[in-house]
Amino acid sequence: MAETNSTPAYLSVSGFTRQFPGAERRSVDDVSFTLKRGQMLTLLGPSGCGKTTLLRMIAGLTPVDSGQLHVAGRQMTETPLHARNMGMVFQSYALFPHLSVARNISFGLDVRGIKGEESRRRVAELVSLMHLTGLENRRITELSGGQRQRVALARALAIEPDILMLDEPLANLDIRLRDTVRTEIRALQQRLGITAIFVTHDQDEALSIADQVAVMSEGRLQQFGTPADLYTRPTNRFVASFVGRSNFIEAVWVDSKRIHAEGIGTLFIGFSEGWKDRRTLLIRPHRIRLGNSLETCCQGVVENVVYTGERRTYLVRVGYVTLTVEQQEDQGQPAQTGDIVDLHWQASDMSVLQEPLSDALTSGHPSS
Amino acid sequence: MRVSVRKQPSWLQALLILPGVAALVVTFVFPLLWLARTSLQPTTGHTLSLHAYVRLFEDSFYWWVIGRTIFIGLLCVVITVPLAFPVALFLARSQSGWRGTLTALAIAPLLTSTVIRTYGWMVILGRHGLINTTLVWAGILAQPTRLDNGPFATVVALVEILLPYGIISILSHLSRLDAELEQAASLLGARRLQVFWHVLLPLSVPGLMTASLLVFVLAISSLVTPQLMGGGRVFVLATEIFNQTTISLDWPFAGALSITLLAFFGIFVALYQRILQRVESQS
Amino acid sequence: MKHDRTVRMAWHLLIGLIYLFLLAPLIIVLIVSFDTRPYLSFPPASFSLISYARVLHNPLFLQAGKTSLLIGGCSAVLSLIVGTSAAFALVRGHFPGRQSLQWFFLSPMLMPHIVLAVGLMMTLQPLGLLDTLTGLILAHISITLPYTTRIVSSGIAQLDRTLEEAARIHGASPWQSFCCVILPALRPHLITGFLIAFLFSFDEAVIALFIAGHRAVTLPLAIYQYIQFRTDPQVASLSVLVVLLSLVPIIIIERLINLRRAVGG
Repeated sequence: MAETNSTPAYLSVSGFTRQFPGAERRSVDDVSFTLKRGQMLTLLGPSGCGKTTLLRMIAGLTPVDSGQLHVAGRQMTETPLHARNMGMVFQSYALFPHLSVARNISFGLDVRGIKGEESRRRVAELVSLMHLTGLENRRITELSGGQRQRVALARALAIEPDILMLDEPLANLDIRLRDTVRTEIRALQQRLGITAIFVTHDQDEALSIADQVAVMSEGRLQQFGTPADLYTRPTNRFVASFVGRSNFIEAVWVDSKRIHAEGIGTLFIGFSEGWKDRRTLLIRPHRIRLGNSLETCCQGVVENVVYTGERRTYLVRVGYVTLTVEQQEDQGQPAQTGDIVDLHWQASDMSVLQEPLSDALTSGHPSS
Repeated sequence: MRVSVRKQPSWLQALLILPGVAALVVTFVFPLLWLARTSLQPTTGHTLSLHAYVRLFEDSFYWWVIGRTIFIGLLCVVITVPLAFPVALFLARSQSGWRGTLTALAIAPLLTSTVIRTYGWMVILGRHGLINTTLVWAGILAQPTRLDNGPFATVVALVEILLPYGIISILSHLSRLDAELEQAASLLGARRLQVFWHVLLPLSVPGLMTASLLVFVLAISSLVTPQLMGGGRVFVLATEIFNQTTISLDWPFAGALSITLLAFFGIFVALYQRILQRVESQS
Repeated sequence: MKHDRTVRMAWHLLIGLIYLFLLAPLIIVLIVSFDTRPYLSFPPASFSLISYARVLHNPLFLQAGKTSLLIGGCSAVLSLIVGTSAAFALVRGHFPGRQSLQWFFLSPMLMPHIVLAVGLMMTLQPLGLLDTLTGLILAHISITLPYTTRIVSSGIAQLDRTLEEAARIHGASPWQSFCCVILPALRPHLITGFLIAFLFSFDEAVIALFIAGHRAVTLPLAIYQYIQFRTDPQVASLSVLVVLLSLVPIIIIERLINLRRAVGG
């Protein structure tokens, strides 16, 4: 789980489990993590992995079968929705069509009985913060997608939420707008010091915006860590293939100079720390280099070349295994289909996955 | 490339629509025109005359009947719509596996005979009916009274008969509303009543209006229930029309009454559309 | 939590009571139909099926049943044929005035039945069709046609266009593609259209009251005339049978395309 530090956990989820009536398996299965105040967490996973259900459980929108939720030391598992003080930006935005922009933003204040000067001041602040000046009296139907998104965010922020939740908030935006809005949301979250949870299925989005990332699959938490942790030290095949592109090699440690790779043979790669049994090793395609070198690991035949401008992607058959290799455009001599090439990499380019996962999990999720 | 009907010459399309148009002209348009024509028929001679209308509007009894009709219609709206709203809300938001069955159960009475349901109310409200027996048994009444005759019984039965129409029109509006709006309101701190008052109710207004209009127009044109349950003491336009055609055999006058009813129909539909437009432009 | 549960229970109780109110007349009629006394009262003195037996031996009711089934069947078939043909033109056609025609085909739905009934009576009388089966069938076409047209139209609108195109490209003639692809795909809507039309005709009383009643008597009319003068368990049993007969199409419709969509919710 997350590294324990001196600062206490602000949000703590433990053992969250939910199985919908009539469902064959649990949508969220024994998920636990903690988050510090002011951090941004992204819940990342393919559709149907349970990330939105987890978010809705934290928000109180979906009942929790078992598990505990603490926010700022307070037990919140049974707290009714309206008393949670959580802000949510829905994927559909869920803005009230019968209210103006200003009345949407002030909704949370109105129902709390905050009126008059204070309400007006807070709405005005948010309107200018969200660049909505001049739109206060517009109807929701008169706004563009980007404007609606900002109103939804302003409405969630107006109640000064303990936790801000964003459910795929960029999904309904124009592709060109997404990067800008993402950067804006991150800047705002850091400036206001808000603890936030952001659900997405887009790994670029997840890694670029977050302090912590929780990767989910089939209702389970696969890994929880910083974006860099996830990329460089994925715990299993699923995380490795979901975050970035990857080659997997099943291998046995022979001695400090050699490993035996399944389907390839003996590779002269020195791991100082050995392991028992067969383990899965990960090597990212851009860490494999082509061409002659003293450190040559193995030889292979180029089966396919894809040229995408910035780089060439080769499929190289080595023994019974096909490896993906990426070379920068300006890097080395381009190879052709049918060429025999030397591949080389070092032990530091590889990471040993902690646990081999069941086949059902690893198949069907090709790296993106 | 498009094949099939679209590519056929247009005279074939005309042929396809012709039987329908013919059927509607014979069974719908012509009877209405003939009705209007009959209402203008003079007592003697061949020219058209407004004497049936003159008679209608000069007789204060018929003004009273029109007032009565509208009053009963409004009464039905005021009772039916508040009863239909909770059921529609329940059906729209229920997560229960029984939801489909319960929806069908709420709508199915609409497809059973009005005569039979009116008869059911006669049994419930009759001298030896359920209500009287219960009240006498409980000692509230010394002896049974007549409940099944008159405006009260008529309105009770009409409310029950029109309830499915109310439910279905509110339900179809509610199911177009995003349930996330209510969740968003709750998360923003609104309690159940606040969610209802500030979000659900204002957003339901168009559905409630459609239901009101439907119940109203069906109530003012219903015949069977006032006829059977009115006990001859409920005079509405529909019963007057029936009496004029079958007992008095004054067809021009029955025609004039029908056209009057139709005119009220039109007025209320137009009014409804004006209000709905205003509501929608405001929200 | 406790408060929450109380609110929930009160809410469900309210819904339950409204349902009870909605179904009360049908439930009561069912209970009374097992009574044996000649006059109407509640609760029943005893439970027996004797009044059902009486209904089934009452020539008046049997004749009315036959008439109702005949009129319902005939008007539903005619309405379905005419409505389906019109639906194709209205959904697929490209001709001036299509929009107004669509509106025109729905307009009888908005017409108060009593006004239509008076008009029909005045029209059928000079034609000598008052109190005849033909007259009733014609009259019921006008009230059922909007429903058959609308239900079949929605079916056609949902049809996947590429299905027919695939049929044509693979060598089916227009007629073959109509019979083997379009009609089977429309089957749920055609059946629903027929059943809805049948039910509306079968339960209709207002128009029948004006244009029939002596020689041609439908079931609702027979019940209406009976309860005007007498109320005994026999009419309750008849009512139960009529409701049961309506229930079969209702269940089929619910299974096929669901009741709410069929009646237009």
